[in-house]
Formats: sequence, C-alpha cells, structure tokens
Amino acid sequence: MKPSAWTCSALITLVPIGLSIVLLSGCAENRSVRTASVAEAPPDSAAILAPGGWGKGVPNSVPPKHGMGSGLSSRTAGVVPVSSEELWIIARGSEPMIQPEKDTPGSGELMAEIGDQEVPMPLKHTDVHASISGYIGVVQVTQQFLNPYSSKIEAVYVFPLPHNAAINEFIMTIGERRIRGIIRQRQDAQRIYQEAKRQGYVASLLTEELPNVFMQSVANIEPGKEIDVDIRYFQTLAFADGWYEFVFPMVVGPRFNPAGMKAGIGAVARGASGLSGQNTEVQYLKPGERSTHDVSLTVELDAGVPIEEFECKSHQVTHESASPEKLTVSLGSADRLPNRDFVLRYRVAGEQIKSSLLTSRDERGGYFTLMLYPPKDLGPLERQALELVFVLDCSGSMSGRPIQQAKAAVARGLRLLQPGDSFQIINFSVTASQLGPAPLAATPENVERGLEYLSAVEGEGGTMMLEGVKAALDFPHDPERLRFVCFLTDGYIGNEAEILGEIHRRLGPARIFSFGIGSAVNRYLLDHIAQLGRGAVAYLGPRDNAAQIMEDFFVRISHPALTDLAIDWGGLQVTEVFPQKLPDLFVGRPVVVTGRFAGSPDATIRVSGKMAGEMTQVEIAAPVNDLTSTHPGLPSVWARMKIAELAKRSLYEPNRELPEEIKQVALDYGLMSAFTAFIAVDSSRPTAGSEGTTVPVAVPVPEGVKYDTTVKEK
Amino acid sequence: MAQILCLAAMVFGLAAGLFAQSAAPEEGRSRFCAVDIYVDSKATPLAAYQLEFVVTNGVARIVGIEGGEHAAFHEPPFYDPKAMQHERVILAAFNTGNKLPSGKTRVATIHLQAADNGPLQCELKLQAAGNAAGVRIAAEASFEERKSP
Amino acid sequence: MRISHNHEEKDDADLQAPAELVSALKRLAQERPFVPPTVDEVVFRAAQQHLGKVQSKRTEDGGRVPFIQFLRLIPRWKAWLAAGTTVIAIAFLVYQFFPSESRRTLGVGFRNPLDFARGGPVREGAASDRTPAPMQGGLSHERRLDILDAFILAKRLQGGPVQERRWDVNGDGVVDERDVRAIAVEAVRLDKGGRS
Repeated sequence: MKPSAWTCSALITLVPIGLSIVLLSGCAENRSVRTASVAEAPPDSAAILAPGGWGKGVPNSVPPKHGMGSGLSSRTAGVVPVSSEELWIIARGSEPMIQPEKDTPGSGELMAEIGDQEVPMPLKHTDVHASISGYIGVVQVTQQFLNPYSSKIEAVYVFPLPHNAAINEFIMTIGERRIRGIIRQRQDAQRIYQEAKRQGYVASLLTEELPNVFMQSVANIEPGKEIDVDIRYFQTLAFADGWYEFVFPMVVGPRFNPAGMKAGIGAVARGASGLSGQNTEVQYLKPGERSTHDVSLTVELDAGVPIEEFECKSHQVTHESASPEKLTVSLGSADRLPNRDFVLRYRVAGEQIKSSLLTSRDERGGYFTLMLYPPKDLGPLERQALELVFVLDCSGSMSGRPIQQAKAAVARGLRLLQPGDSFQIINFSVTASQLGPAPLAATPENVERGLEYLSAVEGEGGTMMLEGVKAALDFPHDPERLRFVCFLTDGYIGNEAEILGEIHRRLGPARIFSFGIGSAVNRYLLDHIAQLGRGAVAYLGPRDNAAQIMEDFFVRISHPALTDLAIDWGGLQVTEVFPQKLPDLFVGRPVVVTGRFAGSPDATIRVSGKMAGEMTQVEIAAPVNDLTSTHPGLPSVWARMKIAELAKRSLYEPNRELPEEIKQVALDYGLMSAFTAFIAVDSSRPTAGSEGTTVPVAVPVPEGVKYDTTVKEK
Repeated sequence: MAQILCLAAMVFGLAAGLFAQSAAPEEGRSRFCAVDIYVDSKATPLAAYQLEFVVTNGVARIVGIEGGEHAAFHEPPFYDPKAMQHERVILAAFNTGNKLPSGKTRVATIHLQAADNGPLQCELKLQAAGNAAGVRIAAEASFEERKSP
Repeated sequence: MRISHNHEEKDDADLQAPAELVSALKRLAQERPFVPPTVDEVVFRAAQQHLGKVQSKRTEDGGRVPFIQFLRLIPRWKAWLAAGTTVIAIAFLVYQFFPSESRRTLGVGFRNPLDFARGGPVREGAASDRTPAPMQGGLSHERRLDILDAFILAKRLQGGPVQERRWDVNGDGVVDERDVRAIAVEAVRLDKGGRS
C-alpha cells in the first residue's frame, strides 16, 4: 500500500533525529565532554549510584575484572556530608601514647621482612601537612613512590582519607618537574590512564572507591626512580563540648563483604590478590611483617583565639607555639607507623561559645557555613523514659579487646537505666540473636538477666550488620518511650549503602547512636549511621574506658534536644542549604549548616524548634556583619557537602539523574567524587620496556585488629 | 512533498552538522604528546603571563599541565578546571621575585592525548604579559610540540 | 461474535442455519454482480478525487485547498505523529543552542559550537590605573581582571598592608593573599557570568 504523505514526512523527520541520537550516543564515548550515562550506575536494590568497580582488583597483572568502559559495579557513592559537624560526638577514641617498636627490621631500607624473604614495597613515605584556620583545614598529602626493582612497575595503593575531604588538587612530581593533574569523568580518566600505561608513559590516577577509601595508581615507574603524588583537600573539623578534633586516617581496616557482593573492599594477605572476589582489595602484611613505609605529619593551627589545651593520645607528638593562638604539632620521629588514625584535639578559650558564621564570595556567588550552638535553656530539663536497644557486633574483627570493650559499655549502660526505662540486647555476626522476644523493663532482675546474656557473647564469624539493623528497628515501638538504638561496632563492612538505606527505611521515631570501637574504625559508616539516625557517634580506642564513655552518653541523653529545627535567615537569601533536613540540637553539640547566599546579611538569625514538646525560638547573634570570618575553602566544602547530600539521597530515593548531578558538581568545582577522578600523564617521554608488574602496597593491619579473623589467605 | 523533503533535509543537515565533531582519542588509536608553551619577552624580564590555549580540531584531550623551565614559573600555572572539559584553557602565572626569565622562555607544558590519525591543531593567544613592575609589555607567545626522544 | 479465519473449514461446522440458506449464501458469494461501466467509472473517479485531495492541495478545478480544510483531511494519528516529531525536532535544536551552563541540570555536556564564536575579553588601561571591581554583585563590565591585577596586588602586599578597599575583591573586609588568589582564579576563568 502506498504510504501517505504524512507518513513519509513523519518518517523522514524521525529518522534523522533518531540517527542523530544514535550518533550522539556513539560519539559521546569519544568526546572530550561526556554526556550523562545512566548506564554507569546500574541500579540495584540497595543503591542507584554505582560508582566504584574500576575492576582493577589488585595486581600482579591480573586484568581488570570488568574491563574498561564496562560500566560500574553496584556500589554506592555514599558521599555523605561533613557528618562530624552535624553529629554529637560523645567520645573520640583515645589511646595512651604508644611506645614505638625499637626492634623493627629493615629500617632504612624499602623492604619488608618476611622471615628470610625480603619483599620490596613501592611506597616509601607519606608526608601530611595540615593547616587549620578556624574550623576548616587544608591538608596536603604527599605520597612518595619509589621503584626498588630492576624493572618497571605500576604501584597501586589503597588508602583512607576523611570522608568529608574535598579533594581539589592533584600534582605528580617527576624529578624536578611538577605536572598538575586534571579532574575528569571517572571512566575517561581510567581510559586515559590505561592507554598511557600501555604506551609506556608515566601516569597517575586517583579514584574514589568509597567516600573514605581511595586508590592511587602510578604507572611505569622506572627502576630506581621516584614519583611523588601531591593531594590537597579541604575539610571541616568536628567540634563538640568545646573541643575541636582533627583526624587523619592512616590505614583501611579489613572489611567484611556479604556473600554475592563484589563492590566492597576485600582484605587479603600480601600477594593473595583476587582472593576476596572484590573489585578493590587491600593487601595486609602478616603479623611480624613490616614495611618501612612511614608517615610524617605536621599540623599548623591558627585558632584565631588563644588555645587553652590540646591532646593527641593516638601518637607521640612534639609541639611548639609561636603565639597563644597558634600551635604546631608534629609526629614524633619514633612513632611513624601508619597503623592507626591520628587524632588531635584542642580546646580554645571562652566558656561562652558563640554561634559563628564563615563566608566566602567569589565569581560564582556567596557561600557560608553556620555553626549553631544550643542554648543553655535545655540544661535543666529531664528526659523521657527510654527504650534502649543495644546492638553488638560480634563478628570476627571484634574478637579480643573490641568485644570486651563493647560488653563493658553495654554492661555500664544497663546499670544506668532508670525506672520506667526498658531495654533489649541484640548481637549479630552471621545472624542476629537477641535477649528476648521483646524489650524488658529495667528492673534489677531483668538487668541481671541482661548481664548474664552479655557475658556469653564472643566475637567470631562474618559481619551481617543488616541483620542487626532489622532486628533493632523492626519490632513494635513503645509510644510511651523514646527508642534509642546503640550500635557498637568497628564498622568493618563493605555494604555501607545497603545498611544506610535500610536504616533510612526502618528508622521511624527511633534515634540511633553509634559507638565505633577500634583503632581504625570505619568512621564514614559510623558517622552516617548516627546522622541518618538523628543521634550521635562515639569512638572508643583499644585502651579507652568504655564504661566512662557510656556514662558520658547517658549524661548527654539525659537532656532533651531542640527538635524540628527551622532557621529564619533574616536578610540572607540562602539557597542549597545542607543538610537539607536539620538535625536535632543537643546540649554540647553544635549543628553545622552550609549553603549559598546572596544579598546583605542581617544582624540576627533566628532558630526555632520544639523543646519538650513546646515550640521555642532562639535568636542567634551571629557576627554576620563581621566579614572577616571568611575562608577560601568554603566553596569546595559546600560542593563536597552537596555531593554527599546527593549521594545520601540515592540510598533511599532512586533517581537516575543523581549520578549526573553529582558528576557535574564535582567537575564544576574540580573535586574528586565517585564519578570523577584525577589523571596526570607525563607525555613528554615514553619509558622503555613493557608495562611492568603491578605491585600493590601492602599495609599493616590496624592496631588491635586480629589478622587471623579478618584477612583472607591462600 | 518536495517541501517536506527540503525541511527534513534541513533538519538532518543541521543536526548532523552539530554533531560533526571529531572523535576524541580512543584506545589503541591515540598518542600522547607534550606541547611546550613559550613566551618571548625579549630583553625585558617576564614577571607574569596569561595566555589562552585551544585545541581547535577536537582531536586531543588535556591530561596534564606542567610548569615551566625557569624557577620563577616552575609551579604549574593557574587554570580553570571547568575549562579542561572543553580542551580550551587559560593559563596564567606570576612571580614577585627578583630572578625572572627574559628572552624566549618555556613557561608551561601542556600534556595531551591526541588521536593518532591527524596532526594536532592548536591556537595560542597571549592575553597579558607583564614586567616586574606590573606594566604590560610586548611579548610573543608560541608553542611547539615536543619531539619524543 | 466469533471470527473465523478459515471460512471454508469453519462454515460447515459453525453454521447452524437451514441448509437452503447456507446454499443461497454460498451462491451469492460465488456470483459476481454485473456493474455497468458507467457506474464503475463514476466510483473510480470519485475515489481518485478523494485520494487526490488528501495527497495534494489542488482541488478539482486546479485551485488550492484551504489549509484548514486540508488539515481536516489528514488522519488524526498521522497528524499527532507529525506534530510530536516537529516538537521534538524544535526542542532538540533549541537545546543545542542553549548556553551550556543552563543545560547543566539536564546532564548533557555537549560542546556548544557557539563557544568558539565568542570573543575574548578586551584589555584596557595601564597597570597603574588598574582598579579591580569588587566581585560580589558581579564584575565590572568596563574591564576584566587578568593576571597582572593579581600580580600587582601580590607585589603591593609584599610591601605591607593594602588599605584600598577596591582591592578587596572577595569582600571579606581584608586585602590579603586571598584576594590575590581570587583575582588569579577569576583571570583564568573561561566562562564569565556563569554560576555553578
């Protein structure tokens, strides 16, 4: 049948458009500017964002499991914001100074001693220099890679950074030459790197595997040559109860990954690559093995007001002060083993802590960060009856000191319960089990039952935290009591997105408090559990007094919070404020809000909220007219928080546009993210020979973690 | 009917023209090259420069920016990260010290990944050059693809 | 009503009519009625005319069919298809020429061909007359900042504090190295007036 004219015209118009779309899709892969690719984020039940899965695994020339351009595996971007400022941090995890080991073998040589066998390591040294002004830090990390072999190598190093780090600079140094890296879409950067590697050029690639875990790859390091990689990031410091805290994580703890998961971080013995089945692996040195990779760290602090006190219980440090407002802290020369987080806390003068506003303006507009402190009025009020649910991680990584601490904390908590309270104890490893079918009234007899149940708990098996979450939140809520759920864990899991998504779905009216136990816990997970759960986080180091920390916790929850916060910004025209949902305002813990603004700031910012069921308004006399409170890093900090907020939304709000929005923000501000990466190539000269062997940097197991129960061996 | 065909041809031609951009380098068919950027300030010591660099035939991507040979411009210059996505970049640097280069000086090197099947076409435009007093000076900018050893 | 695709097979099985009726119907199907040629021709011409009106705008007398009447002759589904296609084509073309910054949320990073058509900034003024405009509220349209501005400020700061507020480009109330960096960042920014 002869087609009608309109049919012909419709086809003639549709075909070129259709071809154009096809051309566009095909050309998009070859463009310098990439289109959104929803295929990058294959949806799964847990998260729509799927950033990781470079598929490299680790080394020994094992080809990437998924190959380049094959799409990203299912893992969340989960780039949650500067959670520490929004969190109530009850305790930070302190340790007495560690005596340096004086009998370490191989010092001065880039070797690891394994019995009679010496294994060279390609990472010689990491230097950290932090400059803190106000509560924003600028941190420069320099990783020195050195090839001790007689042939070319590719070094691969999986390492942690604070999950709120806004990484915006990347420089590769070869001899005297410094080459600035370019932020590109992740897949583009990976392709460029692979091609440069194949053709023999020295190249560096920095990718984000998880919000607090990164992978640095350096290709074609010639024998005896050194390549330095400089990374710079901004971060905001945690603050609570008058203390600021700067944390620099040094080692990724061994994670447990549920069966079937491939997008986690695998923990394998040195040389046992591919054993975990995960796309990204960290190789660990065995007990007794040491590499001479060491760390130097300096923090230069300019508080702007006199510093009254500081402490660093995680490491030996030296310090000097040029003035009362300034302080320089450095790692002691004998304490440079990177097997635990560096934690520096300091307190500034002034009992009356005032809310503060930091601003920054550039050609893109205005950015602000507001730190809100709770009013004193909250102090005298008493709390409601509680339903306390203690959830203990009894997996293998908790074996030994960590589980003992967890049990001590719970035992203390049971004894602090008041008449009218109720409690439940749940422990999880591979499965979850609990004290009873329902919460028990906090009578002396029931508390004894709880203590007896607690005494039998031990650490072994995998970490199916999801089972613990379900058990803690699924049973019916008692409307007469506030349900507070206390998670005690080291957070060594690989399915953070799944856990956080479940918490969001099941939270209801409960509050969640997370207690991180160990020397190198998964702060990203623990901070986010507390943030999503509208609670707080506490960190317990191996030698901390767990009972004391639980007591502090009970003191804090004894006062109600200012809930349902709303802010009247006055003359400030604010947009894109994060967090979008304001957390509760607890005594001793500020709420930090960041956003963009236009217009002239007013003299007063008003905060309203519910206190003990009644609406209250508080005026914050923020020094908004004092524009000396500025920091140039605010745009990057804001952008990082926006990325984190978008990633967090993806956990429970499937939206295919979110990955592209994240990518665009990251590119606009030149930031690392799950969808962007830094690439630097020295294209001036190809190196001779083949690509060389890929050598992963093996790291020590975090202090206090048992190697046998956490690391896979052949 | 003829009118409809003409309209469709216009649409198609326009769309095709919009998309008629050269493909960026692909795996296995690309090369890496370094383009040295020079500023010749003649006899005057060069204290600051600003120039715009563009890859005009769309066959290359910027994969690194390196500083210059003289100590005054050793650090990688300022640039706009967003501009990198378009393979067009403004580079700028300055030095307030006393030891400044004069004559023809390599002030920066741009590392590129280029398609293997064609010459690199770039444009360079010097936007500003200044002496130690901050006075604008006459200077010439040039670029040269570095030959691999 | 049950529809059979094979009348010959189904007829005998499905029909329950009297045999005489069945026979009569079969004879009817087999017979071809005689149609006079004149009737045939009239019908044929009428069909041609009808189809011709749909395919062209010419009427029987050679004149043009009014557009409205022409539209009414178009089958509805074809009209909707054509309209939808046109809308898509127009939207696509408009999208292509829209500024890249405004397309950001749509997540497409096409390189706008018009980017290269935009001219560069105009440089005017001697170094001593340089007066950077404050960045808050937008840049001055008279002159754009360049690296020499940053350099001059850096040099002046080497000699001590700078009091002129016009150098406080980031509006923090202080003239310091942050302003130097802010000027340098602005100098290398490619797209002016864009907002992230």
